Parts: sequence; structure tokens; C-alpha cells
Amino acid sequence: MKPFKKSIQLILLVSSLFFIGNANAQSPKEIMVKVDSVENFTYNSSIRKFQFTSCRYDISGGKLRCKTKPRQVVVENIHKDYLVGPKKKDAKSLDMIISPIADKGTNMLVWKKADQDDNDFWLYLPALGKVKRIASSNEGGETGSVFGTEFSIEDVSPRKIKDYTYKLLGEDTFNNRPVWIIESTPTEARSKKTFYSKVISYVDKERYVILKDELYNRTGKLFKQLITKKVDRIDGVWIVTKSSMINLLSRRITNYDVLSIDFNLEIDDEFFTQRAMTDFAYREKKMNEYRTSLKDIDSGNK
Amino acid sequence: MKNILNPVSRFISKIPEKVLKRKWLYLGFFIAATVFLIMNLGNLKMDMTIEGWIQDDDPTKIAFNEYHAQFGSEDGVYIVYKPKDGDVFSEKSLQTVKSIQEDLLNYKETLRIGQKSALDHIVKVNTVVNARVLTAENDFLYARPLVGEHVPESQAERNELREIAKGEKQFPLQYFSEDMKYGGIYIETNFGAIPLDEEEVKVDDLVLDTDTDLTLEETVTDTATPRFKPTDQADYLKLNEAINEILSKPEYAEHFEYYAVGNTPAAEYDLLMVDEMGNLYMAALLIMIVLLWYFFRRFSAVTWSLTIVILSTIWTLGISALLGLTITGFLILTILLILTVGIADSVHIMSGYSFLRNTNVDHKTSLKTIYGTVGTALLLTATTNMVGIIALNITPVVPIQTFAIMSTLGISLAFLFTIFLLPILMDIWKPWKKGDESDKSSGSLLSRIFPNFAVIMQRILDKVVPLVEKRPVPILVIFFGIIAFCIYGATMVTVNSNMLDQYPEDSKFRENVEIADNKMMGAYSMVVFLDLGKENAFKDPKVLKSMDELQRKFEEKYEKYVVMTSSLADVAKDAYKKLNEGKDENYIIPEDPQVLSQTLFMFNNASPEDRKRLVGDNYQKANIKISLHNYGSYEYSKVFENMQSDIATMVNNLKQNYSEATVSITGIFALAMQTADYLTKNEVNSFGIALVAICLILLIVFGSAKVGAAAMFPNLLPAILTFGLLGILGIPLDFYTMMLAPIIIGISVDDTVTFITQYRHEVIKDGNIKRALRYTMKEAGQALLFTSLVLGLGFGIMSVAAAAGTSNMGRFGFIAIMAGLMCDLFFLPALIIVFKLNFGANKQSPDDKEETVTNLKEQIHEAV
Repeated sequence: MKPFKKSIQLILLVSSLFFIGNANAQSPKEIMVKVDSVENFTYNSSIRKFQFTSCRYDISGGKLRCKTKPRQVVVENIHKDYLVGPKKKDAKSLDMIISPIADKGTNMLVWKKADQDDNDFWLYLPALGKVKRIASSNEGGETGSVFGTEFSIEDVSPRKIKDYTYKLLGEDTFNNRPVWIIESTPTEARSKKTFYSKVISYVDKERYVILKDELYNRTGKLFKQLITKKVDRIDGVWIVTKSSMINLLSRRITNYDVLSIDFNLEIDDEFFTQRAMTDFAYREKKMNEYRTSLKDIDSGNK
Repeated sequence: MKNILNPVSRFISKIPEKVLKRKWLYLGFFIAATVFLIMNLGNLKMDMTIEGWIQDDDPTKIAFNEYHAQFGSEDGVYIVYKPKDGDVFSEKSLQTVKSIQEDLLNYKETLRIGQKSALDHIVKVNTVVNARVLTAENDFLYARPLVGEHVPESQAERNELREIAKGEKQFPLQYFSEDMKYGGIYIETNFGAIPLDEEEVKVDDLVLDTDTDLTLEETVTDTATPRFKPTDQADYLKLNEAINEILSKPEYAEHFEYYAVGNTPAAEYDLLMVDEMGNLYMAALLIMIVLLWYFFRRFSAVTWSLTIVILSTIWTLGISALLGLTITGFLILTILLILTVGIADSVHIMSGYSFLRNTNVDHKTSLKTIYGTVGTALLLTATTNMVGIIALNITPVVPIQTFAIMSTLGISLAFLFTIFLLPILMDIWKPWKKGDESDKSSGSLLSRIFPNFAVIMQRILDKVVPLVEKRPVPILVIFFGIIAFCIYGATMVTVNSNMLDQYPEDSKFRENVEIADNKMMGAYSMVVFLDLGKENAFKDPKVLKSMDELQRKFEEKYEKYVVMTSSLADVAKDAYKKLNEGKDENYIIPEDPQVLSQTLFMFNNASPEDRKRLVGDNYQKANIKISLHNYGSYEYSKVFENMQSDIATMVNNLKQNYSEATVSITGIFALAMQTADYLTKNEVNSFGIALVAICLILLIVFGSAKVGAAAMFPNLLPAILTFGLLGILGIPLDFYTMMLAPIIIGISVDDTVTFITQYRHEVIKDGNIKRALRYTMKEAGQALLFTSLVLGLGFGIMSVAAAAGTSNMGRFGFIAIMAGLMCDLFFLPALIIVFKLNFGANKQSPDDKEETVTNLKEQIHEAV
């Protein structure tokens, strides 16, 4: 689930030592290249269990409250990278719903190719008994939602460096951390596909982690905000374990919480095929092997 | 009854003297208060929307708000366009629509940072270009825009699109007409869905400053009724202007003709109506000024009458602003009522005053005398008028409540100004110096050209009573005959408010609605809002099936009214079909709950925005949208009842499995129907209560059942006549003609009470009915003629209005005022003669405290 990791800020840091130097002199593009490196090249496979919690919210008394009963979806994710060149890789991942029971067995397979503009998404619905491909971009329209949450398919697809031009808007502190504020504007070719007219990112100067993304829709309205709330260090890998996607126009929020995780495990290539999607027995057998190494996230461990 | 009236009369007669002693102090207070209230006028809020008609705690309104909270606003703009080349799918038409759509959405680029635009209210623009088609290609299911980024250049490709579009159940009539000659752009706005309590807090500030996680699972589910910011007329106008600016770009306008419907474009035409109203009001005012001058021949008399009216209006508006009242389209009626009452009040005073001054009574005595008699009558009329208006308040229709409050305020203010301010004004600039000086006033040249109407009137009035004395019974028979006939006519009155009636026959907006109605999906819609009280209820095949059945039933049974329906059921069928090789036999709701659930899951994945518009996130609440043709409320009320019972039947069936299921019918259309319903049910009651209350007051004040009953008929006749005529002529009672009632009652009560009060004053002196009648006719008759002519002609000018509502008001206002005059001249005297109404004066027991006034009057009488 590499692309997913990207956009929900599954940002990892091996070490900030990589980037010692005169940071201030960097161009915004150089900064974003480093962010991309940090996000994508710190481990080559992973398993994780996470939870989406979504509701329609309102703001009162300075607090954000759910207007409706929150809906929860628990998902298991398996991910594997395939290096195809220096700083160039393909990636495959499979997301499986394990609760609510009604949706159990529904799963989503993602193939990301380094040399291909759009990623391939397949969805399997057990009751329909069908695997269906779904779109990662929609000719500028909003893409489908990931399991009914506020994360859209486009949100979980990585933004490629070549598709954007970057502008440094300024420097500030965000959540007590010094940040660069960088605006990413899609190139003309990309702008025909993306739903967003621009993204303003708050990049942590020390760790090259994006702490906040402001996503503007095609009409230039601030549409969504993705906020990193917690970054944990697990097995030497820095990873975002809590974040929120807030849809400001429809006033809906989805929280993303990692429940347990492990990195760099051996995963069969066959697991990223339609067989794993449709064949319950095969999938469960394999997953039982992979699950053994899952480590719980200690919510107090910041 | 003397016991009540006499002290009041004495008290009022002393007021001029008292205020004149400290006239600069009083004047200073009035000026200061007026300045303060003028400064407050800016705070007045205006609401012309239908939702403003209904109280916030009304179940229809609550459902309306909950619907908005769940699904957003349905107060959009529907622009029907007609391409010059007659084909919505021509390359140029598609290109033009695409550009318009982009202009509507991409306006931000032209704004400076932080600059606001009226277009910010736009949430989404739906056109044939971006209409989403759920598409299955092999194993690939996705929702794609019908046309998208590239408008095909080849005819073949466009024809392919045309065929796809025709095959989508929800596209025809929404995006194009059957003959493809008209297209539709639907602009979704956030009007009515902007939370009232929205705080200017950035979400990330909250998240970060509180330093706590958004543990959503721990938060309490909020059950409070959502409230939304009412949409101001100005918001509609601004958005309309911004949209028009785009539409009227030469490159678009040369290819498209537009027919826009919805509250937003309607605002433009509403404003035209308000302008027309304003102009007519000014014309009415001008006519009144001319007539006032013609009757009184004194500029001071004209000036002071107008001063009373204008001050009463300013104060009423200013105090309403202070009270936080929201004014509506009924404001014009309030203003008219104030004009009526204000002019009547001051004319009564000045007419009597001039009568006395012309008989050489000095200024102070004239004031005292006239305030003692006419002032008392004014107090009575103001009271009865206010009671009548307050009776209208017994209605849940908000604009009528506001109308009642403001009008009551206006009437009392006009009275207070007449009593406390007019004597000061008349003292500062005296309308009449002495009888013989009068002809030398500034208007003397004109006076020679125009005959003095007052003299002519007196001659006419002199003949009235002898005529009535000769044939009192036939006169009564004629009047009672009219009453009986009109009561019969009134039973045939229908209540029918068509939203279009407020616009002139040849209004562009009417044409717009007709085009939208005949060619496309119609200008109006209602929404069935279902809450089944259980999560995932709308993933139950049984539920979707009953929704589907209801829709089909509506489309067949009410074919004449229902253009189309849409709901989650349609979407489920469409998605299931497309997931199954697009075969028509699969255009069904799957029987297996798991299959249905995953079909919907698929749909949500492909088109989350569309899903959110149809069903809530947890599938507990959903809606059925029903697009409707435009007909009047009379026709719809029956259909609407049947629809409601069909819906109730469906929900009752669902209750077997979903015991907490509730349904409400909402949307602008439903609110309008609800309002019409309230009006029908309540108006008759209010009207009755007003009449009973007025009669009771008259009874108490005059202390005689006989007099009370006698006074009732002349009070009633103008109103009955109006409603009778409406019934006989087949003119329906709508929001506007309905509101004539209080004005008509106001005017007739005013005249009748003045007449009776003065008559009583005379008759109790010696019990001589005939003498008292002749004298009253001479003194009060002049004022009656003056006010009736001034107001009647002033009102009459409204009949030239282009809008049917205003025009009817003018026409029937005039008829009612003239009928009122005839009643007071012939009907009331005939009643007095036949039933020998003399207030028990034959006992010959004049109240000695009344001596001063009586003696004075006798002197005057002799002088005359």
C-alpha cells in the first residue's frame, strides 16, 4: 500500500543526518525531492493494521465534534517495493477490510509503476464475486473514496515530483516545529487529471516530514486538510501513526490511526495478484504468517 | 357609556393645551428620537424567501433544516439554455457550456488574495459536460464525466455521447430537453445550509492548539436541531449578478438564450416588483398630496398630514429594526396601512378644525374642541384597528406575524403623533388663520381656477340625510341585499397562491418558469426525507424496493404534476446493471442484502459526491427528490394530500421492520404548500376573531348592543363586498388579496367609528336623532368624504400595477373604500333612523361635566 502511505503522510525518516548541510539554500523542489526520498526509500516492505474513523462534524465551543455516530473501518495492509533503478521503484500493496463484518472480505489491490502516470486500483467485493478496476484519476473530477472515508483514491496516490512546480511561500513554525511552507502546482498535463488546483505543504525542516497539506479544489477553494498528529519511531523507522483528513466543504473528517506495524518482512509476490483478492483460504493462510511479526503501536510513544 | 367616553374625551381635549405649553421640549424629543431611529434603519433585515414564511419550530421547517444539514442546500439556480443552432450536443453548444461551467468555478484566479466573491456561494455546477456516467469497461468500473475535458470534434463521437446521455435515466430533462433544443445547467449553492453558529475557527488551529487527539469515538452524538443562516435578498441578488455577468459574455450570449429559475434569478424580478411598488406608492402619495391641497387649500395642512405619515413610517421601521424584526414582502402593506391610517387621522382632525375655524372659532378653542370629539374617535378607531390586526397574529406564518406587529405599531404611532405632535405643528404653522383671511393664502390663484370642493361637498352632504329620512327601509333592504349576495359570493372564494402571480403576465421570469416547466425538469421540486432510525437501513433491499415503488407510483399516478423522481433506488439499479454487463434485465434492486450493500459500496467508491447527496454516511437517512411542474396551490393542495397519504402508507409498511421510521416532506415547494395551508385554515379564523373583537369593543364603548350591532354591518360590508366580488369574479384569494382584509377593515372602522362617535356626541344632547344626524353629516361627513376620496384614489392608482397581486389590491382597495363611504353616508344613517339609535338620550340626562364642550358645540351649531 505504498501510494496510500505517501499521501497519508506515512513519512519515514532513517536519519536527519542524510540532510545535514545548508538547508536554507535549498530550492523548494530540492526539499520536496528529499521529502519523496524519505517517504519512499526507508524500508522495502511492511505489514500494518490501521483504523479509519469518520463522521460529519461541527465546530462549537472551539471544539470539533461529531454530528453523527462515527463509522469505523479496520484494515490490514501488506506492502512491497520493487526497485527498478536508483531512487526509482514499482510498488504493490493489498488492503483488506476486517471490520465491520458486513464489509469483511472486501479488499483493494494497488500497483504503482514508476514509469506509468496512473496507478492501477482493483476492488474485490465478495458478495458480487467480482474484481473491478477503479480509477485513480478522473479527468479532473473527484476520485472515488477509499472504503467510504474522506481519503480519496487520488489522496492515497503519490504526487510525482515531475508533475508539479514548487514555490517556497515562507518559513514558519507549525506545531512547535520549524517548517517550510511550499506550494505545489500541477503542471498543465497533470492539471487535466487532478482534482486539486494546488497543495500547500508544511514541511518539517529537521525530519522532512509533511506536517500539514492544504488541498485546494479546482475552483481554488480550500477543500481538504491533511494533518499529521503523531509520528512514531519503530524499528528505527519514523512513521506517521495518527493523522486526520478533514473535508472542509462537506464538513466530514476521517482519522487514520495505525494500530500495529512491522517492516522489512518477506512477502510472496503472488500475494499481490487477484488470487489473494478472491481466494479467502489462500489469503488467510498467508496473512497468518505475516501477522506474527506485527507490533502494537504504543499510543504514548511520541 | 358616557362614563368611559366622557373622561377620555375630556382628557384628550386637554392634550393640545398641555403639549403646547412645552411645545419645544416635545418637538425636541420627537426630532431626537426620529434621528436616532433613522440611524437604526440600516439594521433592518429583509427576507423574501419561502422558508422565512414558517416558524423555526414548525415541523416542516425542522425537517427542512435537517435535510439541509444532511444533504446540503437545494436552493440552487437552474439555467435552461437554448442554443442558436438548435442542438445541445453540437460542438459549439458543448464548448460554450463547458466554458460557462469553467467561468463559474474558476473565478478565483481573477480575485486578489482574501477577496470575496458572490460566486463563493456556488458549491457545484452540474452540466451535460461534467454529468457523471457510471461506466463499466471490462473489469473497470468508474464514474466519468459525460464529455469531460475534450469536446469531441467529430459528429460521430458526439452522437455517441448523445446516445449514452439518452440512456442515463436521470439525464433527460435535467440536462437536455427531449428534442435536444434546450439544455440545463444546475448550480448548487450553499444558501440555507450555512450553519448559523459557524465560528471563525480554523480546523487545524483546533486540532493543534488543544493538543488532544480527535478521538471521534468518544464524542457525543449531537441531536440538537440544526439552524442555518437565512438567505438575505441581497445575497441572491449578488450571486445572480455575478452569474449574469458570466452568462452575458458576448461569446456565450450570442450562442445561448437563457431561462433561469430558482430563488436567485427570481430575486432580480422581485426587485423589479419592489421598484414598481415603490413608484406606485410615490404616485399614490402624490395623488393624496394634490387631493389634500385641493380639499384644504392649505400647504400647511398637506405638509402636516404627510409629516404624520412619514414619521409614523420611519418610527415603525426604526423600532422594528431595534426589535430585530425581519421585514418581508408585506412591508408595502404595512406602509400602505400607515399611510391610510395616518392620512385619515390627520384629515379628521384638520377637517374638523377647518370647519370650526371657518365658523370663526379661535385657534385654541378649535383645537380643544376638535381633539375632544375627533380625538376620542381616533382613539377608538386606533384601538379597534389594532385589535383587528393583532387578531391576524394568530397564525404560524412568520411574515404575517411581522406584518401584524409592525402594523399595530404603525397605527399606534400614527395615533400618538396625531394627538401629541399635530397640535404643535398646527400651532407653529397654522393652517387656518381666520375665516376671512383664508382666501388670501398662497393658493388663491389656483383657488379661483378650481371650485372649492368643500363647499360643493357640504351641499351634497346636506342632501344626504333628507334622502335617507325619506326612504330608510328601502335603503336598508338594498344594503342587506348586497350583504347577502356577497356572503354567497364569498363562499365561492378559492385560496390559490401561485408563486408566479407576483410577476406580471409578460414578465421574463414567467417565461423562464414556463420554459423550464414545459421543456425541462420544471422549476420546483419537493423532497421526501426519510429517517429509518437504524444504521444501514438503506442497504436493505426491501427498503429500496419500497422507495422504488413509491417513485414509480408517483410518476404514473401524478403524471400531470411529477416530471421525474430520483433516489438511491435508481442509483442502485443503475450500478447493479453496470456491474452486470450493462444488461437491461439487471436494472433491478438486487435481492441479496450483501449484493446490494456491495453494489452501493462500489457506487460510493466511484462517485462519493453523488452518494452523499442521496443517502447519509451511515445509510440511515435518505431522500427522494421529486421534480414538479408549476401549478397553483389550490390545485396542488389536493394532489399534495394524496401524495402525503401515499408516502404515509409506504412508511407504515416500513415500520414493521423499522419502528422508528419517520418521514417528512420538505423543500421549498413543500414549505410553500404548508404556508398556503396555514393561510387557508387560519385566515378565516383570524378574520372572524378580528370582527368579533371589533364588535365587542364597539359594544363596550358605546354601551349599547343595538349600536354595537348596527355599527357592525357598515364595518363588515366593505370586507364582505370585496370577498364576495373575488368569489363572483373567480379571482382567487392569494397572499396579497388576503392581506386586503385588515386594511379594508381598518378604513371602514375608522370612518364608522368617527361617525358614530360624533353622532353620539350630538344625540345625547337632546335625543333628537334627525338633528344630530344632520349635524354629524355636516361635520364628520366632510372628513369622511375627504379621507375616502384621498385614500380611495391613492389606493386606486395601484390597480395599474403590472403584477396581478398589487393590481388586485389597488382595485379592490378602491372598491372597498368607496363601499365604506356609501355605508357611512346611507347605510349607517338608515340604520340609526330605523332602529332609533339615540344612546338612551330621551332620558334627557346630559352629563353636566360635559357642559363646556356641549355649550361650545351649540354655539358653533347656531353659527352654522
